Amino acid sequence: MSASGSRYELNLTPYIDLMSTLIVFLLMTAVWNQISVLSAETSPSTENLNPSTQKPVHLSVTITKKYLELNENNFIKKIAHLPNGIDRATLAQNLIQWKKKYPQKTDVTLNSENSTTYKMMIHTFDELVGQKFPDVGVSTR
Amino acid sequence: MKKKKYIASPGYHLQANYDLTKLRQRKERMKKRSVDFGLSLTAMIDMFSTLVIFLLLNFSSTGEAFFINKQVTLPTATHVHPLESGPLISITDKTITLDSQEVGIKGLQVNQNLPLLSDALKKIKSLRSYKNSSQNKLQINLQADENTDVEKIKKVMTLVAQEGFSGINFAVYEGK
Repeated sequence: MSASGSRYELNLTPYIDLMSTLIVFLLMTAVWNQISVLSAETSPSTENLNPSTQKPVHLSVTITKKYLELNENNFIKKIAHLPNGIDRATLAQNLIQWKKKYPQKTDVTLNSENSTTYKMMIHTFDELVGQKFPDVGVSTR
Repeated sequence: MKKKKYIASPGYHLQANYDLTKLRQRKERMKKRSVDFGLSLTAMIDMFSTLVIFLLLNFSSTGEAFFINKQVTLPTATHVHPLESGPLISITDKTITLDSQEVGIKGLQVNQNLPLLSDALKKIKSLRSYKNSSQNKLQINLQADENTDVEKIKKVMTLVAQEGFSGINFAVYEGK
Protein backbone atom coordinates (compact mmCIF):
# COMPACT_ATOMS: atom_id res chain seq x y z
CA MET A 1 0.00 0.00 0.00
CA SER A 2 1.32 3.44 -0.93
CA ALA A 3 1.51 6.52 1.27
CA SER A 4 -1.61 7.94 -0.31
CA GLY A 5 -3.47 4.79 0.67
CA SER A 6 -4.09 3.49 -2.86
CA ARG A 7 -3.36 -0.19 -3.42
CA TYR A 8 -1.14 -1.46 -6.25
CA GLU A 9 -0.97 -5.04 -7.50
CA LEU A 10 1.92 -6.49 -9.47
CA ASN A 11 0.77 -7.83 -12.83
CA LEU A 12 1.91 -11.45 -12.82
CA THR A 13 0.60 -12.43 -16.26
CA PRO A 14 3.84 -11.80 -18.25
CA TYR A 15 5.86 -13.52 -15.54
CA ILE A 16 3.68 -16.63 -15.69
CA ASP A 17 3.77 -16.57 -19.52
CA LEU A 18 7.56 -16.39 -19.51
CA MET A 19 7.85 -19.17 -16.96
CA SER A 20 5.48 -21.43 -18.89
CA THR A 21 7.39 -20.91 -22.15
CA LEU A 22 10.71 -21.53 -20.44
CA ILE A 23 9.48 -24.71 -18.78
CA VAL A 24 8.10 -26.10 -22.04
CA PHE A 25 11.36 -25.30 -23.87
CA LEU A 26 13.55 -26.81 -21.17
CA LEU A 27 11.41 -29.93 -20.90
CA MET A 28 11.52 -30.45 -24.66
CA THR A 29 15.29 -30.04 -24.87
CA ALA A 30 16.06 -32.04 -21.74
CA VAL A 31 18.26 -35.10 -22.23
CA TRP A 32 16.55 -37.98 -20.51
CA ASN A 33 18.62 -40.83 -21.92
CA GLN A 34 21.99 -40.87 -20.26
CA ILE A 35 24.17 -42.16 -23.06
CA SER A 36 27.81 -42.77 -22.33
CA VAL A 37 30.67 -44.13 -24.37
CA LEU A 38 33.47 -46.66 -24.30
CA SER A 39 36.45 -45.22 -26.13
CA ALA A 40 38.66 -47.35 -28.33
CA GLU A 41 41.61 -46.75 -30.57
CA THR A 42 41.41 -47.90 -34.16
CA SER A 43 45.17 -47.97 -34.51
CA PRO A 44 47.02 -50.90 -32.93
CA SER A 45 47.61 -50.29 -29.26
CA THR A 46 51.11 -49.14 -28.41
CA GLU A 47 53.26 -51.28 -26.19
CA ASN A 48 54.67 -49.65 -23.10
CA LEU A 49 58.15 -48.52 -23.85
CA ASN A 50 60.15 -50.14 -21.11
CA PRO A 51 63.83 -49.16 -20.94
CA SER A 52 64.70 -52.57 -19.58
CA THR A 53 65.51 -55.42 -21.90
CA GLN A 54 62.44 -57.39 -20.89
CA LYS A 55 60.58 -59.11 -23.64
CA PRO A 56 57.42 -57.14 -24.50
CA VAL A 57 54.27 -58.85 -23.31
CA HIS A 58 51.35 -59.18 -25.65
CA LEU A 59 47.91 -59.63 -24.13
CA SER A 60 44.84 -60.17 -26.23
CA VAL A 61 41.28 -61.35 -25.81
CA THR A 62 39.45 -62.99 -28.68
CA ILE A 63 35.68 -63.44 -28.67
CA THR A 64 34.43 -66.48 -30.53
CA LYS A 65 30.91 -67.75 -30.78
CA LYS A 66 31.42 -70.40 -28.05
CA TYR A 67 34.18 -69.09 -25.79
CA LEU A 68 36.56 -66.29 -24.93
CA GLU A 69 40.19 -66.86 -25.75
CA LEU A 70 42.70 -65.15 -23.49
CA ASN A 71 46.13 -64.97 -25.09
CA GLU A 72 49.13 -64.19 -22.92
CA ASN A 73 52.28 -64.40 -25.02
CA ASN A 74 50.83 -67.28 -27.03
CA PHE A 75 49.66 -69.07 -23.91
CA ILE A 76 45.96 -69.49 -24.58
CA LYS A 77 43.20 -69.95 -22.05
CA LYS A 78 39.58 -70.52 -23.02
CA ILE A 79 36.51 -69.41 -21.08
CA ALA A 80 33.24 -70.93 -22.27
CA HIS A 81 30.24 -68.62 -22.64
CA LEU A 82 27.27 -68.80 -20.31
CA PRO A 83 23.76 -69.24 -21.79
CA ASN A 84 23.09 -65.51 -21.33
CA GLY A 85 26.40 -64.25 -22.71
CA ILE A 86 30.03 -64.10 -21.79
CA ASP A 87 31.26 -65.36 -18.41
CA ARG A 88 32.20 -61.99 -16.96
CA ALA A 89 33.11 -63.30 -13.50
CA THR A 90 35.71 -65.76 -14.80
CA LEU A 91 37.03 -63.19 -17.25
CA ALA A 92 37.42 -60.70 -14.39
CA GLN A 93 39.35 -63.24 -12.29
CA ASN A 94 41.76 -63.89 -15.16
CA LEU A 95 42.21 -60.19 -15.84
CA ILE A 96 43.00 -59.60 -12.15
CA GLN A 97 45.72 -62.24 -12.42
CA TRP A 98 47.10 -60.52 -15.52
CA LYS A 99 47.13 -57.20 -13.68
CA LYS A 100 49.03 -58.73 -10.75
CA LYS A 101 51.54 -60.21 -13.15
CA TYR A 102 51.93 -57.10 -15.32
CA PRO A 103 50.96 -54.08 -13.20
CA GLN A 104 52.41 -51.57 -15.70
CA LYS A 105 50.50 -53.02 -18.61
CA THR A 106 47.41 -51.05 -19.63
CA ASP A 107 46.84 -52.15 -23.21
CA VAL A 108 45.02 -55.21 -24.47
CA THR A 109 43.99 -56.10 -27.99
CA LEU A 110 40.38 -57.13 -28.43
CA ASN A 111 39.65 -59.43 -31.36
CA SER A 112 36.26 -60.79 -32.26
CA GLU A 113 34.95 -63.31 -34.71
CA ASN A 114 32.53 -62.02 -37.32
CA SER A 115 29.69 -64.18 -36.03
CA THR A 116 29.75 -62.65 -32.55
CA THR A 117 27.50 -59.79 -31.52
CA TYR A 118 28.15 -56.17 -30.62
CA LYS A 119 26.77 -56.83 -27.12
CA MET A 120 29.45 -59.47 -26.44
CA MET A 121 32.15 -57.13 -27.68
CA ILE A 122 30.94 -54.28 -25.46
CA HIS A 123 30.67 -56.51 -22.37
CA THR A 124 34.21 -57.82 -22.86
CA PHE A 125 35.46 -54.29 -23.53
CA ASP A 126 33.71 -53.07 -20.37
CA GLU A 127 35.30 -55.81 -18.28
CA LEU A 128 38.77 -54.98 -19.64
CA VAL A 129 38.37 -51.29 -18.78
CA GLY A 130 36.99 -52.24 -15.37
CA GLN A 131 40.06 -54.36 -14.58
CA LYS A 132 42.40 -51.44 -15.29
CA PHE A 133 43.25 -52.15 -18.91
CA PRO A 134 41.92 -48.87 -20.29
CA ASP A 135 43.89 -48.85 -23.57
CA VAL A 136 41.81 -51.34 -25.48
CA GLY A 137 42.67 -51.66 -29.13
CA VAL A 138 39.79 -53.12 -31.09
CA SER A 139 41.09 -55.18 -33.97
CA THR A 140 39.20 -54.80 -37.24
CA ARG A 141 40.65 -57.95 -38.79
CA MET B 1 -50.06 -30.45 41.78
CA LYS B 2 -48.44 -29.03 38.66
CA LYS B 3 -50.29 -29.70 35.45
CA LYS B 4 -48.22 -31.59 32.89
CA LYS B 5 -47.70 -29.69 29.61
CA TYR B 6 -48.03 -31.89 26.59
CA ILE B 7 -47.71 -29.32 23.82
CA ALA B 8 -44.60 -27.13 23.70
CA SER B 9 -43.64 -24.43 21.21
CA PRO B 10 -40.85 -25.72 18.83
CA GLY B 11 -37.34 -24.22 18.95
CA TYR B 12 -34.90 -23.58 16.08
CA HIS B 13 -34.25 -27.22 15.38
CA LEU B 14 -35.94 -30.18 16.82
CA GLN B 15 -32.80 -32.32 17.13
CA ALA B 16 -30.40 -29.60 18.23
CA ASN B 17 -29.42 -29.68 21.85
CA TYR B 18 -27.99 -26.19 21.61
CA ASP B 19 -29.02 -23.43 19.30
CA LEU B 20 -25.71 -22.22 17.78
CA THR B 21 -27.03 -18.76 17.10
CA LYS B 22 -23.75 -17.17 16.15
CA LEU B 23 -22.90 -19.93 13.71
CA ARG B 24 -26.35 -19.71 12.18
CA GLN B 25 -26.02 -15.98 11.77
CA ARG B 26 -22.56 -16.26 10.23
CA LYS B 27 -23.76 -18.87 7.74
CA GLU B 28 -26.63 -16.69 6.75
CA ARG B 29 -24.30 -13.71 6.27
CA MET B 30 -21.96 -15.82 4.08
CA LYS B 31 -24.87 -16.72 1.80
CA LYS B 32 -25.44 -13.05 1.08
CA ARG B 33 -21.71 -12.33 0.46
CA SER B 34 -20.38 -11.85 -3.06
CA VAL B 35 -18.79 -14.91 -4.76
CA ASP B 36 -15.92 -12.81 -6.19
CA PHE B 37 -12.60 -14.20 -4.91
CA GLY B 38 -8.97 -13.95 -5.94
CA LEU B 39 -6.85 -16.97 -6.98
CA SER B 40 -3.68 -17.25 -4.95
CA LEU B 41 -0.80 -17.54 -7.41
CA THR B 42 1.98 -17.76 -4.85
CA ALA B 43 2.16 -21.54 -4.79
CA MET B 44 2.11 -21.79 -8.57
CA ILE B 45 4.88 -19.22 -8.98
CA ASP B 46 6.96 -21.02 -6.34
CA MET B 47 6.54 -24.29 -8.21
CA PHE B 48 7.35 -22.67 -11.58
CA SER B 49 10.49 -21.05 -10.21
CA THR B 50 11.74 -24.29 -8.66
CA LEU B 51 11.06 -26.21 -11.88
CA VAL B 52 12.82 -23.62 -14.03
CA ILE B 53 15.88 -23.59 -11.77
CA PHE B 54 16.03 -27.41 -11.78
CA LEU B 55 15.70 -27.62 -15.57
CA LEU B 56 18.24 -24.83 -16.14
CA LEU B 57 20.76 -26.62 -13.95
CA ASN B 58 20.28 -29.83 -15.92
CA PHE B 59 20.25 -28.09 -19.28
CA SER B 60 22.84 -29.35 -21.70
CA SER B 61 23.84 -26.93 -24.44
CA THR B 62 26.51 -29.15 -26.00
CA GLY B 63 24.20 -30.87 -28.42
CA GLU B 64 24.18 -34.13 -26.58
CA ALA B 65 20.57 -34.75 -27.39
CA PHE B 66 21.62 -37.86 -29.20
CA PHE B 67 19.54 -39.26 -32.00
CA ILE B 68 18.80 -42.90 -31.20
CA ASN B 69 17.24 -44.94 -33.92
CA LYS B 70 14.08 -46.75 -32.83
CA GLN B 71 15.47 -50.02 -34.17
CA VAL B 72 18.58 -49.72 -32.02
CA THR B 73 18.84 -51.13 -28.50
CA LEU B 74 22.15 -50.05 -27.07
CA PRO B 75 24.09 -52.45 -24.84
CA THR B 76 24.84 -51.48 -21.25
CA ALA B 77 28.26 -50.96 -19.73
CA THR B 78 29.60 -49.87 -16.35
CA HIS B 79 33.03 -48.32 -16.88
CA VAL B 80 32.07 -45.54 -19.23
CA HIS B 81 32.97 -41.95 -20.10
CA PRO B 82 30.62 -39.06 -20.73
CA LEU B 83 29.55 -38.69 -24.32
CA GLU B 84 31.37 -36.06 -26.36
CA SER B 85 29.82 -34.22 -29.22
CA GLY B 86 30.89 -35.56 -32.60
CA PRO B 87 29.72 -37.24 -35.79
CA LEU B 88 27.50 -40.24 -35.16
CA ILE B 89 27.40 -43.41 -37.23
CA SER B 90 24.35 -45.54 -36.58
CA ILE B 91 24.33 -49.16 -37.71
CA THR B 92 21.07 -51.09 -37.91
CA ASP B 93 20.09 -54.28 -39.70
CA LYS B 94 18.57 -52.26 -42.51
CA THR B 95 20.86 -49.33 -43.01
CA ILE B 96 23.85 -47.25 -41.94
CA THR B 97 23.41 -43.57 -41.21
CA LEU B 98 25.83 -40.77 -40.47
CA ASP B 99 24.16 -37.98 -38.49
CA SER B 100 20.71 -39.13 -39.66
CA GLN B 101 21.83 -39.15 -43.30
CA GLU B 102 21.69 -42.56 -44.97
CA VAL B 103 25.13 -43.64 -46.16
CA GLY B 104 24.85 -47.42 -46.34
CA ILE B 105 22.84 -49.78 -48.46
CA LYS B 106 20.50 -52.49 -47.25
CA GLY B 107 22.14 -55.81 -46.43
CA LEU B 108 25.72 -54.72 -45.97
CA GLN B 109 28.10 -57.32 -47.39
CA VAL B 110 31.66 -57.97 -46.29
CA ASN B 111 33.28 -56.89 -49.52
CA GLN B 112 30.87 -54.07 -50.17
CA ASN B 113 32.29 -50.57 -50.25
CA LEU B 114 30.53 -47.66 -48.63
CA PRO B 115 31.32 -44.72 -50.92
CA LEU B 116 28.71 -42.43 -49.37
CA LEU B 117 30.09 -42.97 -45.88
CA SER B 118 33.63 -42.51 -47.12
CA ASP B 119 32.74 -39.20 -48.82
CA ALA B 120 30.86 -37.95 -45.78
CA LEU B 121 33.79 -38.78 -43.49
CA LYS B 122 36.18 -36.96 -45.83
CA LYS B 123 33.97 -33.87 -45.65
CA ILE B 124 33.87 -34.01 -41.86
CA LYS B 125 37.63 -34.43 -41.73
CA SER B 126 38.24 -31.43 -43.99
CA LEU B 127 35.87 -29.31 -41.89
CA ARG B 128 37.63 -30.32 -38.70
CA SER B 129 41.06 -29.51 -40.13
CA TYR B 130 39.68 -26.14 -41.34
CA LYS B 131 38.67 -25.41 -37.76
CA ASN B 132 42.33 -25.95 -36.82
CA SER B 133 41.60 -28.67 -34.35
CA SER B 134 44.83 -30.52 -35.07
CA GLN B 135 45.58 -30.85 -31.38
CA ASN B 136 42.48 -32.91 -30.80
CA LYS B 137 42.41 -36.32 -32.38
CA LEU B 138 39.56 -37.04 -34.73
CA GLN B 139 36.88 -39.01 -33.00
CA ILE B 140 33.65 -40.53 -34.11
CA ASN B 141 30.67 -41.88 -32.17
CA LEU B 142 29.28 -45.23 -33.20
CA GLN B 143 26.00 -46.76 -32.14
CA ALA B 144 24.62 -50.13 -33.07
CA ASP B 145 21.99 -52.55 -31.91
CA GLU B 146 23.28 -54.98 -29.30
CA ASN B 147 22.54 -57.95 -31.57
CA THR B 148 24.33 -56.54 -34.60
CA ASP B 149 27.03 -58.80 -36.02
CA VAL B 150 30.52 -57.58 -35.23
CA GLU B 151 31.33 -58.10 -38.90
CA LYS B 152 29.36 -54.96 -39.80
CA ILE B 153 30.93 -52.96 -36.99
CA LYS B 154 34.41 -53.98 -38.10
CA LYS B 155 33.63 -53.04 -41.68
CA VAL B 156 32.63 -49.52 -40.63
CA MET B 157 35.53 -49.25 -38.20
CA THR B 158 38.01 -50.15 -40.94
CA LEU B 159 36.61 -47.40 -43.15
CA VAL B 160 36.66 -44.88 -40.30
CA ALA B 161 40.31 -45.72 -39.56
CA GLN B 162 41.20 -45.43 -43.24
CA GLU B 163 39.72 -41.93 -43.31
CA GLY B 164 42.01 -40.87 -40.48
CA PHE B 165 39.72 -41.05 -37.45
CA SER B 166 41.86 -42.40 -34.64
CA GLY B 167 39.25 -42.71 -31.90
CA ILE B 168 35.95 -44.52 -31.90
CA ASN B 169 33.43 -44.04 -29.10
CA PHE B 170 30.96 -46.88 -28.75
CA ALA B 171 27.64 -45.51 -27.50
CA VAL B 172 26.23 -47.47 -24.58
CA TYR B 173 23.75 -47.03 -21.79
CA GLU B 174 25.30 -46.64 -18.39
CA GLY B 175 24.15 -49.42 -16.10
CA LYS B 176 24.92 -52.81 -14.62
